[in-house]
Amino acid sequence: MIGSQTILILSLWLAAAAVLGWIVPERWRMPVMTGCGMGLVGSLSPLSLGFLLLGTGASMMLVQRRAGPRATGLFVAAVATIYAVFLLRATALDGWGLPAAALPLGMAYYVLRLVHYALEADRGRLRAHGLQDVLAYQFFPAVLFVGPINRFDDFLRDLRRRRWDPELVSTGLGRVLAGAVKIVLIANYLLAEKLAPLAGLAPGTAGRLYADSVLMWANLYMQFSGYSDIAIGLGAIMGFRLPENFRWPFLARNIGDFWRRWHITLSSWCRDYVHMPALARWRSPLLATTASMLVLGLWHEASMHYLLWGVYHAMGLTIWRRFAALTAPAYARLGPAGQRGWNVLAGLLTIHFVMFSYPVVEAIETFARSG
Amino acid sequence: MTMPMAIESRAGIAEAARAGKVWIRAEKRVVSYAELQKRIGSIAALAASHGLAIGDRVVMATRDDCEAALLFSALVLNGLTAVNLEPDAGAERAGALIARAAPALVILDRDIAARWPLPAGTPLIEIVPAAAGGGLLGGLLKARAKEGLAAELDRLGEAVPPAVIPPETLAYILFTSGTTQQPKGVCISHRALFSHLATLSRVQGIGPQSAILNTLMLSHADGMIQGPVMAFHAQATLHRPLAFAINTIEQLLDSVYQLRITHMIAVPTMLALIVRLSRNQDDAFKGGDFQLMISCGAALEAALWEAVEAKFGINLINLYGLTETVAGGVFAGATLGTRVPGSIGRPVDCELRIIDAEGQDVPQGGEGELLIRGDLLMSGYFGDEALTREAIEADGWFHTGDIATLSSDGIYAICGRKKNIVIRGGLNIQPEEVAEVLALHPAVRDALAFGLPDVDWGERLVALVAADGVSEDELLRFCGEKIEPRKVPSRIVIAAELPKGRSGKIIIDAARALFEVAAEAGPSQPAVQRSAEREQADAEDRLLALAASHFRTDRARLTLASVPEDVIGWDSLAHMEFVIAIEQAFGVSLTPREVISIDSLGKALALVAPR
Repeated sequence: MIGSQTILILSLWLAAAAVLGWIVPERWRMPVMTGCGMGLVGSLSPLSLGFLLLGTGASMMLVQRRAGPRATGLFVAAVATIYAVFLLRATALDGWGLPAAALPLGMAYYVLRLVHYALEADRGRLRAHGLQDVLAYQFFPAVLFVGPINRFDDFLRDLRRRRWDPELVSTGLGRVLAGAVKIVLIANYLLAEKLAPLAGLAPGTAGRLYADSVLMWANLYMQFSGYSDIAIGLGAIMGFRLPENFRWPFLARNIGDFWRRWHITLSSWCRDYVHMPALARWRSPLLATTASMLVLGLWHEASMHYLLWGVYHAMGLTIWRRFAALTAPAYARLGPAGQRGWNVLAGLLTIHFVMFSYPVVEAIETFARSG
Repeated sequence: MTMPMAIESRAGIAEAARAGKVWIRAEKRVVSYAELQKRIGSIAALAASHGLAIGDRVVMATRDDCEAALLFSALVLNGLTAVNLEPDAGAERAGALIARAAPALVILDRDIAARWPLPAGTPLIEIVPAAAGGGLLGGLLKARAKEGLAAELDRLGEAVPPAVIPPETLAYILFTSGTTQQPKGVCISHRALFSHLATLSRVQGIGPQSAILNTLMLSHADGMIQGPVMAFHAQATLHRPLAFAINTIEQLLDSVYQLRITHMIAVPTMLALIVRLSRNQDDAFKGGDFQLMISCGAALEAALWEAVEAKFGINLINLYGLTETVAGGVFAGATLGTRVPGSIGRPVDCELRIIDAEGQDVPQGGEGELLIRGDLLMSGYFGDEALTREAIEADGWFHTGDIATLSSDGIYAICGRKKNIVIRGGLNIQPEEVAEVLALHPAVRDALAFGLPDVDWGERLVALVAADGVSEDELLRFCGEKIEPRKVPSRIVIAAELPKGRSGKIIIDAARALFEVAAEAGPSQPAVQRSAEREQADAEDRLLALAASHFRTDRARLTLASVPEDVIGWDSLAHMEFVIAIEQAFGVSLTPREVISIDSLGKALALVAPR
């Protein structure tokens, strides 16, 4: 949970960015918003400010000197290593002997943006831009702490299209409100306070485990999609269209579909910068899927728990893909009604596969420890 | 017939100035209607101090777009005849044009004034760029350091512009492509200009709420008339956010959205580039404000027309006209009920006729020269009665030099050209002018310039010369010094002799053939080129078939422009399967980096079957 003082600081900087970003003379608008982003990061985590400035500067230098794939690879490795060290400290894996310290605020998201920018620039896929544009992107206040992990080229397009648009601003205000309702009313009040006692089953029973899982995922979804709504809403208020992060994930028909609906900007990041390169190099879907789900898992937390969680999802994805290929002819023969029934069943199976990821991983861990 | 003329335009400008409206928003400068109004007053004062009368000619040339717009508009609205020369013009041509124009006053950029020969005794005012320097201090220094025109206008203050400007007063003279011996100065009267502006704004739906995007050169009619002049006529705002170039296309499209552009004026070359090079920007015109794309300057091919409308979901008007008809006259487009791609539509506020070589009307469906008549027509070619009589019949019909047909439903289409002109990227080049320049080189005995079809530019200019002891580079450099860069041929082939008939005239077809044979050895030799093209088409076919089978989609739905976002089955696994399939089919092996770099089918083709 974020403390109330943090929320106050956050709100003040965000409000300043949103308002000043429209009322100062046009050529100062983006610099002022970038400044607010820097102030926001700096007042909550000077370490993050330093690191992000350094990372932005270094990535910009790579681009300007056309440093090539090798130097870009080094940059990515350096960013990943630093993130890994902080992550290990933050989640203090037993036996690593590192003093525990919280992950610098926003780091989980901006490292992904730094890597994204460096790789895309190296591939020559970005439209012409300058240092100011990159700073504006890396310090864009709306997405600093909870994502979405927006893309530079989209950001730049919106930056160049930015204009006062009352409709967009009012949509944004609506999104912020919707997000707040999800977090405060539904997650923190309804799910946590009102519904939690209803799961008043004896601990350790299968029923309790199931009820807990349902509540946990409902809460997780409401919280996280709520924060994404707020970020997307703030982005719109500031004149930017940010990518969606959730698209009705619990309506997914299979596990592959789920990952295209849940934390979309993270899974698409993993698809582009882990899965595709791994696939291109090893040409093995199994290895590529495992690599990308491991990265996706370990990004949350450097622990055995998330490592196993990543393997769990990689297995799920691989098995589903084989299964889908094998049953495709049978599915085609089912007819419309049969297919609908099949889809409902597949959807239920998918939700449960996702929900059981944590209990299953915990069970394995418990088993491993006891054994 | 009464129509709003210069006087009404001035009233409109005053009204827009009172409302605090912006006239031109350029990259680095914003010009308000108030500034334009002030400039009209100060040019009136300048005219008085130099003893200029209505219809006196003032030659102007400046690279500063806002300055060019201010000066041109203020001259026209004071009843002075603006002779707007291209700043890039070579010294010889410019000198000849200025001598021909016999101006009462010359206003030029300082560096241009240093370059161009000026007739003795003609007063010259230089345009001096304001001293560089930012911030408050820079601003103060700048205010103190005013020189040249700016200083003179400050000193003179403002006067009242003439209350009456007779409609036949020349608004401007625009020198179009013509040879140095015979420059063609198109004389446009206030009658022609303002009647045509009324037509243009009505047909194109341009009014005080319009935001016009026009980045074309202001030394040409499509840039100046459909730009600053159209804007002040309609009290609209003109946007020139940046210079059009290959690497600014994305930015230009984003500015359409950002600036809430309602009308964009473009030449077909620009449209082709926008269609080809925009990325992830199909919604660029969907910001809620855009109304109309106006294509002008050159023939718009049916396929390009369709592509622009389909890709961006917009309406387009194809405008046909010549410098001699101010800007247009004939319009085709969905908003007019004449959306016939490849055609020029129907005339508005003017008449058309198609005649044969004997001057008889051609029966409907037949080909013949297109004639145009109406208020929009020029008064004639400056100081050239013979040329004017040749072009304009006694009963007012003007020979366009274009070959046209008329369909049964009243739609006109251009199918050829009678006159010898090359239209490169919407700008006209008179090949004789270039040949004339080449012939000036001491090593050149004979020169011929002509146009060839070009994918990007519509046409390009090339030259065949008979010369000894000189290289192509040397000749290109020579041309570069004498004429505007856009007129320098893209290729000059040197031959021993030019093919000539018995009368001594060059046989054009033989010269073209000679050029093609000599032009390039290797891949672009016609036969080789054809087989390479066939091979490429074959490779494209195989690649698209593979893509269709791996992305589980219909072959007909794929093109080289297809990207993963447009193809449902193109996920990362299908991507890899496709890569492996094309590696096998084309016998190549792609590196991981190349595999990742494939973001369209065209890119894939370039990797497996490079040209």
